[in-house]
Amino acid sequence: MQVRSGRGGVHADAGFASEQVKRLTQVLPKARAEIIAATEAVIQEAVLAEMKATPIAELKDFGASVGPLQSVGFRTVADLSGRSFGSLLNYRGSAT
Amino acid sequence: MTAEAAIRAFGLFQESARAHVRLLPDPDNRRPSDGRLLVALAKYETLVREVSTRTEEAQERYVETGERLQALRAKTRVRDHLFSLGSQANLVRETDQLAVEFRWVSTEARNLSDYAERLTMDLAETWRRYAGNAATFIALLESVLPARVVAKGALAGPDMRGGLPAEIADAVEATQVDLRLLTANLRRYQQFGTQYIVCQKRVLLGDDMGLGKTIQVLAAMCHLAAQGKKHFFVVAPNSVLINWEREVKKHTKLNPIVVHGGDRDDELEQWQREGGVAITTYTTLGRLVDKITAFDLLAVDEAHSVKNPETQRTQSVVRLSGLTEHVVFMSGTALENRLSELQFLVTTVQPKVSAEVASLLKQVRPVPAEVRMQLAPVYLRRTQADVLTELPDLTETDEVVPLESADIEAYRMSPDNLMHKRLAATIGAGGQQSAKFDRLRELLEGYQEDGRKVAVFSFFRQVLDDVSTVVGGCPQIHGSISAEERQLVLDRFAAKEGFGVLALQIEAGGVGINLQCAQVVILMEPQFKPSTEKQAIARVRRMGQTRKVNAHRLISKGTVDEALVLLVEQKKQVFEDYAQHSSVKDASGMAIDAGSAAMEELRGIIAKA
Repeated sequence: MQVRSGRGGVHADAGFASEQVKRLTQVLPKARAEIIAATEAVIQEAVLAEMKATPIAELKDFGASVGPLQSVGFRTVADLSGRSFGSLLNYRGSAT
Repeated sequence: MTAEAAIRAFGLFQESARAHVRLLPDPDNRRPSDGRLLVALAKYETLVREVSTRTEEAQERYVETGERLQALRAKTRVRDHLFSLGSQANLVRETDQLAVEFRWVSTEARNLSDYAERLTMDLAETWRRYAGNAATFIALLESVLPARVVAKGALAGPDMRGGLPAEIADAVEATQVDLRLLTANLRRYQQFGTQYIVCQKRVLLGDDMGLGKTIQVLAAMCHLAAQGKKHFFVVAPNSVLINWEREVKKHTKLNPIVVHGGDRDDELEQWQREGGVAITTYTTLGRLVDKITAFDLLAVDEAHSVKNPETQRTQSVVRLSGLTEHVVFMSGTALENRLSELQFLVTTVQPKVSAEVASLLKQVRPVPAEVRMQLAPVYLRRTQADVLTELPDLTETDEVVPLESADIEAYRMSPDNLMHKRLAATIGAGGQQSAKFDRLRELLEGYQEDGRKVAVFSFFRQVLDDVSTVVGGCPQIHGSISAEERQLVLDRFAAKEGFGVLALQIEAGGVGINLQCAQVVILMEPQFKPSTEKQAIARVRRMGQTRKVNAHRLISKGTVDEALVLLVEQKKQVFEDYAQHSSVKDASGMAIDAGSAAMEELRGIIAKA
C-alpha cells in the first residue's frame, strides 16, 4: 500500500517542507554573516586609514630597515600594501 | 636587512593596527561602512525578534511530522492493516493530516524566509536608534562576532576576568547560566560577572561605574528564577529606586515590586506571596527587616554606604544577608577612605574569608599576590579600560581661574569654615559674576554652537540655581526632588534635541543615573572624594556613549579648591594601590586621615584666608 494524501503524495509535501525549512534555517546565519562581513569592512577601512597616516619610518619598531624603502619613495606604511616579497626585491637597496 | 623583513614588519603593523580598531560608529561622522554595519545589526535584531521563535516552531513541527510519517510507514507494513478497510481509512486520514501539517510548515517557512529577504532597514532611522541606544547594538555585535575577532581587540579589553587566579576564573567560566528570563543581550564580560555571582554565591561586585553591574545582578536573578527560585531582594539608595524598577521591567521577565512608602507592609506581603524582585531603600529596610524570612538573592546597591558597622542600615543589611544563600554587594568605589571599609564589605558579604583577610591586612606590608588570592573568591572588579575598549575618548581639563578682586574680598570675608570657603570660591561676590561663572558662560557658548548636551555638577544648591540663572532656566536634579520627578527630568533631558543644560547636585545626581545623552561634564568645584567626581563623569561616559566626552573641573586659584585637588589626588592613589588592582603596595600608606599632608594644607589655606 502506498501512503498518499488527498492532494498528491505526502512525500512530495514532506520534500517541499524540507526545502523550505532548510532555506529558513539559513536566515539567521546569513544575517550573522552579513554582520561579520560588515565588521570586517569597518576594520579593514580603519587599518588602511592607519596605514596611510603612519610614516614608513615607524616600521622600524617592527624590525624593518626603512632606509632602503624611503630611498625608493615609500612614504607611508600603506605604500607597502599589496607588495610581494618579489616585487620589493626589484627596488634597488631593499635587499642587502 | 631584507625585503622579507619589510614584509614581516608590514604584517606585524597590520596586526597591531587591527588589534586597536575601535568598533564604535560615530553618529557625528557617519561613515558608509559604519552605516552598513549598523543596518546589518538592526536587521539581525529584527529577525531574531520576529523570526527565531517561529523558525524553531516550524523546525519542531517538521521533525515531529516526519517522525509521525515514519511511524505511519511502519504501520503500513503490517499485513493486518491491509485487510482491514477500517484501518485503511484511518491510514488515509492520518496521511492527509500529515500532508496538511507539512504544507503548514512549508507555508510558514516560505513566508518567514521571504520576509527576511524583503526586510530592509532605514539608514537614518538606524543611526537615530543607535545614537539613542548604542549599548544594545554593541552587545549584539559582541554576541555575533567570532571570539577571534573580539580577542584581537576589536571589542574586548585585555581582562574581562578581572585578574582572578586561573583556578577561580576557569571555574566561573565553566558555570552554566540559564538566561531565558533575561530579555537583554549581555556583553561577554557581563556574562562572566553573572557566572561569578552564580558560582561564588556571596560576592562584592566592584566593577567600575558604567559597566552594568545592575544587568549582571539581574541576569543572576534570571538564572536562579529559571531554576525555580522566586524571591529576590534589592536594597538601594532612594534616588535609584525607580531606576531599578525600570531596569527589572526592561531587561527581565521578572516582576518588580517596589516596597516603599505607606503601603510597604502590603507590598512586602505581596512579594512574599507571589515572589519577584522586591526593591526598597536603606531607610525603609530598617522597618521591614524583622518581617523578612529566608529568600533567594540579596543585592545591595551602592554598598559602600553600609561600611559603618555601627549604623542601623548596616546592621539591617548584615541581618538580611544572613537570610539568603546568594548575596551581591555592588560598589564601584569599595574603598572610599579607609582600607578597613573594603575589609568590612568583603567580610560582611563572605564571613568565611574574614579571618584570613583580617590577618593579612593587619600586616604592615601585605604581599599583594597573597591579598589578591584571598579576595578573589569574593571580590570581582573590572575597569572600563579592562573591558570597554570601544568607549569614546575622555578629555579631562582642569580650568584654573584667577579670582577678581571683588571675589577675593568676598572669599576672605566668608566664614572660616570649609563649606563656606568652597562656596565662596565658586560664587565670589555673587550675582553669577565670579571668574568661574565667566568661564562657565564661555564653555556653554562653545557647546551650544556644537549642539552638545551639558551636565553641570555642584555640591551646592545655590550654585545650581546660579547655573540655571546663567542659562535662562534649566532643569535641576537635587536631593529634594522625588525619585519620580528625577526620572521625569532625565527622560525629558534625553528626549530634547541638541544643546541643553542639566544642573545636578553631585551627591544626588552622581549615582545610579544614566546620562549618555550628554557629552560634556562640568564640575563646578573639586569634591572631597575621587569617587564622587569619577561617578559624576561616569554618568555620561558609560556603556552606550558614542561620542567623545569632555569633562571640565573649575578650580579657583589660591583657594581651598586647590588644596582639595591635592587631597583628591592623594585619595585616588590609595584607590589605585588597593581596590583598583586588588593589591596592596604599602598598607601603612593606605589610610587618608585627618593628619595627612593634604588635610594639613587644607587647614593652612583656610587659616590664611
